[in-house]
Formats: sequence, C-alpha cells, structure tokens
Amino acid sequence: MARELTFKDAINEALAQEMARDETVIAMGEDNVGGMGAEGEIDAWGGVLGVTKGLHAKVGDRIMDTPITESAFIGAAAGAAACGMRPVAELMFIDFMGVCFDQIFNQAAKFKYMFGGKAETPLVVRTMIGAGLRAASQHSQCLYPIFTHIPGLKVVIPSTPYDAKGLMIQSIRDNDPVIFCEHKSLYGLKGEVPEGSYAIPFNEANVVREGGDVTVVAIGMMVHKALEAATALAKEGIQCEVIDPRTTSPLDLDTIIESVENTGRLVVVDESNPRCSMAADISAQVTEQAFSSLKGPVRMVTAPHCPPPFSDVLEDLYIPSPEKIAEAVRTLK
Amino acid sequence: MGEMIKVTMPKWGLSMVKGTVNDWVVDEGDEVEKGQELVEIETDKIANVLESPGEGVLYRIVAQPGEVLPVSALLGVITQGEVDEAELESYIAEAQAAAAAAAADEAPDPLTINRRLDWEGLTIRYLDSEEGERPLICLHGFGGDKNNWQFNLAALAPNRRVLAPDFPSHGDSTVSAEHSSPLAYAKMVSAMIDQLELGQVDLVGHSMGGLVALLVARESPAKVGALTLLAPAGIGTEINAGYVDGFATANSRNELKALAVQLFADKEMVSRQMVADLLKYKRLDGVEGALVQLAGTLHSGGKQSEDLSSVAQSVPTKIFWGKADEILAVSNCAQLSGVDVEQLECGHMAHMEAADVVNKHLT
Amino acid sequence: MSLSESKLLQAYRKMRQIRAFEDRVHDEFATGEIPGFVHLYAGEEASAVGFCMHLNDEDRIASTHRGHGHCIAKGVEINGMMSEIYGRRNGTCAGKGGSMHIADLEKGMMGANGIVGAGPPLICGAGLAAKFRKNGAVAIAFVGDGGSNQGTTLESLNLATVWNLPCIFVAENNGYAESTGSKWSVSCENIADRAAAFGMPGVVVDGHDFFAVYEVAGEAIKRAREGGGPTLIECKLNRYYGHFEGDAQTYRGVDEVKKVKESKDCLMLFSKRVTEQGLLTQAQLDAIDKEVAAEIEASVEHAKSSAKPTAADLMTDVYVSYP
Repeated sequence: MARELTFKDAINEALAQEMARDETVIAMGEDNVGGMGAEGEIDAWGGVLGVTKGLHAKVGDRIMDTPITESAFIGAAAGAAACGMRPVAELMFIDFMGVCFDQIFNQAAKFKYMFGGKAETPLVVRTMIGAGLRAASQHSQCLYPIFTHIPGLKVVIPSTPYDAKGLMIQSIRDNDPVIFCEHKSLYGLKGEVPEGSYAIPFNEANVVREGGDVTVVAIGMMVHKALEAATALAKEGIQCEVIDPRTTSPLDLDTIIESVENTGRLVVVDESNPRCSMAADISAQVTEQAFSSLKGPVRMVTAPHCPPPFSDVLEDLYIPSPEKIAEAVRTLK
Repeated sequence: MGEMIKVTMPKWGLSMVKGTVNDWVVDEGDEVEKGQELVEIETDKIANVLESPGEGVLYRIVAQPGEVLPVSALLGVITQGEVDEAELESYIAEAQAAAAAAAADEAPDPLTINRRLDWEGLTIRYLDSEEGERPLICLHGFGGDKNNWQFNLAALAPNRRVLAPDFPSHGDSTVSAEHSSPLAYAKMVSAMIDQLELGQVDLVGHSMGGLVALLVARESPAKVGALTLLAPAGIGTEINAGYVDGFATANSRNELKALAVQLFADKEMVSRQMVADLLKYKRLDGVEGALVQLAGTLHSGGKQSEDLSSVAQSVPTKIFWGKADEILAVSNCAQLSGVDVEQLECGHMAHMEAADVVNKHLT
Repeated sequence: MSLSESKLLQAYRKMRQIRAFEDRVHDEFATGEIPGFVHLYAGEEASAVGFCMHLNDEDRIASTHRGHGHCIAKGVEINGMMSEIYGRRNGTCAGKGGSMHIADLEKGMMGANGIVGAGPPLICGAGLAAKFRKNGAVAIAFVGDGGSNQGTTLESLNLATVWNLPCIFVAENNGYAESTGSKWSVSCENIADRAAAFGMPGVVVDGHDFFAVYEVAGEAIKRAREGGGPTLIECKLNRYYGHFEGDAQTYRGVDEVKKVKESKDCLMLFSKRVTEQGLLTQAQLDAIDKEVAAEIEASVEHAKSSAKPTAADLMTDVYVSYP
C-alpha cells in the first residue's frame, strides 16, 4: 500500500523538500515557527494550524517568524523574490489580504510587466481559505477570484494531498508570484502521496470522475461536494464528469470545453460569492467559446451574496452542498 | 492461589500493530504499584514506558529486551499472594496461545506491505509473500513497477514464495540515473537474493525485466534456477524505439494514453486510473532523466543493444510472447532454437492480458 | 484620584463579570457546544474597566479579537453576548458575528475584530466624527502588542496627531502575539516609547493595577475631551488562557501563569487594597461575586435555550437597501 499523508503534511513535505533542494527557498509568516521571545518551546506552533510544524528543526533560520505586520513582510517577501530568493510567505487567512493587498497586486504582480520583462518575482503566498469552521465573516472567505482577476498573479487551489504537494513544489519553482490557497477544512484529508518530489504543471485540470451527461466543474473543497453529488446522481442514472481546474490562473479551459462538447451541459460549483466569481468567469468563457455545444443554460452553484455567517445553521446554508449541486444538475436533464 | 495480572503489549495510536520491547525498568520479584513504570516499548512512531496495569509482584518477565511482539502479546505476569508454578506456566501458555491466535486473525496480507531494502545507498521497495518454498522474483519492464504483477502475485503466493521489486528509478524505489541500466538492475536483483538469503531463485521477467533476468543468469548462474520470460528484451534485435523514447519524455495525460494503448491488444484495458498513475510516476523529480538514459542503454539506431539468446539457451527457459505485441515484436524469437516459446493471443502485457496461462506455468 | 463607594463597587462588579464570563466560556467551550473559536480576556480586566469607567455611551471604543472584556466594560448586555457566542438569533449580532465580532453601536462599542490592527483607523474616524459633531466624545482603540506592530496602527497614530483627534490608543501588552513573544516582535523597550515619534504623550502603566490604569486613563481622556489631542498608553499585563481555546501554550514558561495569578491578579490586588483601606468590606465583594455567578449562570441557560437563526436570516442585513 502506498504511503498516505494528510493534506497539511503534504504541504509541509513539499516545503521541506524544496528547502532542502534549493537554498534560496525561505519561508516566513506569523507563528510559522512560534515561541520566539518567549520562555517555553521554540517551534511551539508551526503556523496557526501546524502546517509548518517541524520545519524549523530541518531548515533553521530559513523559516522565520514575523511580527503581525502583513504589509511589511508580504512586501518584504516580494522584494526578496525580486532579489534572487524564493520566499514562501504565509498570509494566515486570505481575509487578511486587505492589510497587504498593495504589495501583492500593485507590486509583486506588476514587476515583470512594468519593468519591461526585466524582473522575475518567484514569490509564493500561502493562505487559508474557506468556510466550515464557524470562523465567521473575517476568517472564512474564498477570495481567490479577486487574485485571479489580477494579471501577473497565478492562483492555485488544490483539493487533494497529492495535488497539494505537487502544486506547492511547482509554485515554489515557478518564476511568477503564486497565490496558493489552502482550504482549512481539507487539512485533515488523507490521500496517497509519493515520497519523492514531483511538480504538477499549472494549467492542467484534473478530470476527477468521468461521465457523459453533465460536466461539473468544482474548485477546492467543492470538488469533494461535487463528487458526493455525482455519486448520488449516478443512482438516478445521471453520469457527471467532475473536473477540478486546480489552478484558476492559468485556467485550463480546454479540458472543460472538451468535456462540455461531449456532455452539452455545465454546472460550475464555487464556494466564493456569486458576483465576479470563478463560477461566473468559467460560465462566461464556456458560453462564449462553446455556445453551440450547450444544450441548456449553464448553472452556477455558489455561496450566496452575503458574508460568511457565524451561526452553524447559517453557515451550513451558506456553503454549497451536495444536495444543491445535485439539484442544479437535475434542472439540466 | 492468588490473582494473576497480565502485562501485555499496549496499542498506542490507531496504527500500532506491534512494538519492540526495550529495557525492563523493574526486575523479576520486585513489588510494583498500579501506574508504576514497568518496561520501555518502542514503535516506529514513538518510544514510551508502559505502566503497570495493577499492583503486586512482577513474578515473571516473559518478553525479553529486543523482542518484537504484536499488540496484546504477553510481556509479563504480576501476581498477588501465593503462586502455584504449574498454574502460572499454564496461564502463560494460554495467554500466549490466545495472543498468537488473535495476531494471526489480524495479520495483514504480507503482499500488501511496501517493504524496503537498501542497496548502494538507494531504497529499493518490494513486495514479498514471505511464506513458501521455491522463491520466484518478478521483474517488471521499462517504466513499470511491482504492481504490474497485480494479477499474478496473489494467485501464486499459496504455492510458492513470490517477490517483486521496483527497480531503481521505478515505482517507489529511489530515483537514480546512475543506477538505471539493465546491468545495474541485474546487480540489484543479485544483491536482493543475497540480502534476503533466498538461495537459488526462479526469475520471471517482463520486457526489459526479461533482459535483466537473462543478465542475472549470465552473471550469477548459481543463484538462478529457471527463467520465465514474457515478451523479453534481449532476444532478437527488433524494438519499437519510438515507444521507449516517447515514454521516457511524455509529460501529459494524452501523450501517455497514446503510448499505453500500444501495450495492450485490448485497448479497453487502458483505464483513466492507469494513465493517471503513469503520469504521477513520470512527474517524480529525476524520473525523466533516468528513463532517457535507460532508454539509451536498451537500443541504438533503432535496434536492441544486446542479444542474450545464448543465455536463454543455456538455462531452463520458458518464453511467452503475445502475437499482437507492438513494442517487442514476436518475430524476435523466430531464430531462437532449443527454447520453449509459447505464442499467446495478446499484446505486450502477457502477465496481465493472459494472466491465467502465465500463472499456470509459474505455479 | 479618589473614587466613590458606588464607583468602586461598579469597577469591581465589571471586573468580576468579565472574569466569571471568561472562565465560564472556557469551561463551556471545552464541552464542544460553542462553535468556532474564542479568545479569552481573563487576567486583563483592569485595563478594559480602568478605561471604560470614564466613558459614556457617546464615547466609542474599538476592540480586538480578544473582545469580551471590552464589551462588558463598555456596557454591552451579558445575555446578548453569551447568546451571540452560542450563535443564537437573540445574540448581540443576531448570531451572525460570533465571539470575534460582538458589537453594540448604541453602547459605543464598535466591535471586536478579526483583523489585527483594524481598530485604530476606525477610532480615528470616531474621533473625527466627534470633532465635527462637537459632542465632546472621545474614542479609544484597544490593540494588543501584536496589533501595535501593524502599519494601520502606526499610520493611525500619525493621523490622530496631524488632525488633533480626541483619540486614545491603548496597547494591551500581554506578552504574546499568538505564540510569539512581544520581547521579540516589538522593536523597542516599550510600545509607549513610540509615542514620541508621533508627537503625542506615551505612558506605560501596570495593567494589573486597576487604580493605576484608572488614573492614567482619566488624564488622557480629559486631555482628549478638552482638545489636547491623542495619547498612547501601554498596559503591561498577562492573559490567563491561551491565544485561543485549544492553544497548548507550550511557548510559555513553567508556572508562568500560576505565578502571575498568585502575585498580580487584578481582582486580588483590587480586593486587597479596598478592604485594607476600609473603602469596601469583604462582605460587599462577596455579595457581588455571588450575584455575578448567578448572572453568568443565567446567561448560559438563556443562551442554550434560545433559538438559532433560520434560513430567512441568511440574506438579511447585507445592505440597508438593495437594489
């Protein structure tokens, strides 16, 4: 039996292997080590949910704690990237982008273009996304569409431990700034992960399940909800093809369109809010490029147009469910 | 007669199935209290000290330092009050028998364990059924791995010991271009026979694995009994070099699928999962470089580099070859005399496409 | 500065309410009934109460993720807070905000906050509004030692001086930003030392000592009300629980919290002083303890028996009007 790792440990292993392979790779973030300037243990936290735990013993000072100064250290990571390093900076929750967004979208994302191709910014920003932990409005959002909107940024959203490791390695080796989104509800998910290093190229969607009736494109945590829906629908005789784009920028539209040309029906599932979402973007692009293949309207299943609520009752309604996905699929048959 | 309390191997964590007994912290005859530290136990994850399950006298230490025992195995006996030696002995015997029976029920299929051995600083992963005589080592082909024998190992295991390694730069073994040539693989197989003290073995080799088997027979004749070769390299000179070189450099699902269908007569055998697994393997760091180099040792100028027909003729050898083989054409054995060749209605993957026939021969 | 008996009783009651509230939330969280995560204020009570005792409902405060204490000190109703923490429909924020976002604008409480360093700019705005509306109000931003390092905080200090705002910035330095020590993460000896760079007074005060905090707060608030501009005050204090509930706190020293509780607990220091000086009797304090215990018990019962929000609540309150 092949080795299994959790999603969280797969990311940790990718970081450890790349930091061992390449001395220019450094990591930083709030409590990425933990316990600095205190009397107790060093490496007390390894990140707020323990993703970087144990790295300090392996790489020493190449993993750094930061004060709570996102604008300064995310910007410092971008600056170091432009000066020959490969920093992996942790923006603890994607919701905190507001504090440091300028350094990401006006600085790191623009260097290459503004400087006439003369700059490379191999920066990775690791950040947690997603609802489900009752963490309320400022710790639960899926803001990746905002980053996807910005030319110059690449946006990665893995859904399995295997993909998390291979995409993290590719993110570190990539010479452009990458926003690497980790859904916090996936951290405990186990799956087969090879011990060796490997990189999964960007712009390669993963066809997670084959089916000929309806194409279901789902992102991050939603891949698992879509698979649940597909299993239920198969019992009703509806075969879903579930596609995980894995990266929203670049977006592997070819794989999606190839599938839609076969099924004629498309449902896009996205945990972000509906307006200007990945669901809206993918729907628009497929409609523009493969309109003649569509046998019906494209359906979007997203969070509603409201902030993530705190109460469990409301949050459960907020997150797209397998039932809602199945219902959207049924309307197309 | 007083009470007797069993000290048993604990289960620490969900995955623990066995532990190593390190040092006893107390001696036989010592009085112990409930919760007192008794003996150091080590697992692959954790080392800890087992606490006494009750109070009394540690009357007998059953498990000695260094012993590896399954969860719930008897480690010692604590007694309270008078002790009848005969009763104690039968108590111990009963407990050990019960633990052995429980362990046998829960023992995992040995073929599901991804074992490792070290060779020249590399980790070599392999499967081993452990039990049985007449060990048979199964050698996979170029770009393959030990799981290519999925239809053979379990079928053969009841009758003989079967083993299947991943060659370097294949499967879960370490990637090393330096160790990626048929001759290096033959040395690895020879080392495996020695390390596992297998004595003389039979070899079954598929494609490049057939060439490796022939090389082992040539280099270490004393270690090899009979050979079974499935569409082997090293017999004749024809080879689909485009497939070999293409596989070495392919890095997308579509490229790999186009190559994988050439392996089978029945193209439907190529599943999405098979292609996905190939892609995962191809993406491991260093694999492409190692395979490109390995491909260079297998052919040059569109012809196979080495013809070992004479080895096949000097060792008891049986060859199976698919008539629809698109990689190594069955015509390669046209000139081969004095060797039992059986042609099958299949492609390059006789052990998968005609598993029954191959298994019947190997049983 | 002398306090009347009723003021002393009020101060003690508020501090006791915060302590009892946080200890109870700690216990309840452990049972698994409280969703999400909570950051507890126990140990820091003298700071919130020492400042808020000077304030009225027109005055504004902005809090942090560790906000329960500021809420109670500013007069937010306890039943509503407990219901909110349980995610109930009758919570202070209708179950939509939770522990980290309790706010009550009518009481001048502009919200606990999930974003570190988000309060100071908002408090500049509150100060600006007070200035335009000429209502004599002041505005206080509470931040932690972690928040004191955010650009938003430092920019706000500058702005408050430039605009001469009636603002007070309170850095509650409990020694840790999550697991990271402020001795490491703060670049100067005292956070209050930074005040000089922004042209305002900077004061360090022992945050365990209610009376010291009350006095320093009073001076700064008086100056702000009279148009004298902003002040930066650092309260050095300790938190008794982890960064959040579930934090194993392996970064802390052996017996670190125990020693603080034994020597510097704010309630203990307060009780000792008022009884020794004959300002209050032990019986008065005990009576408050008893009343508060019953009040907190009732709030938990109330929260647990209250209804959760319904599907209809999901899409309300996003806009004042839409489209």
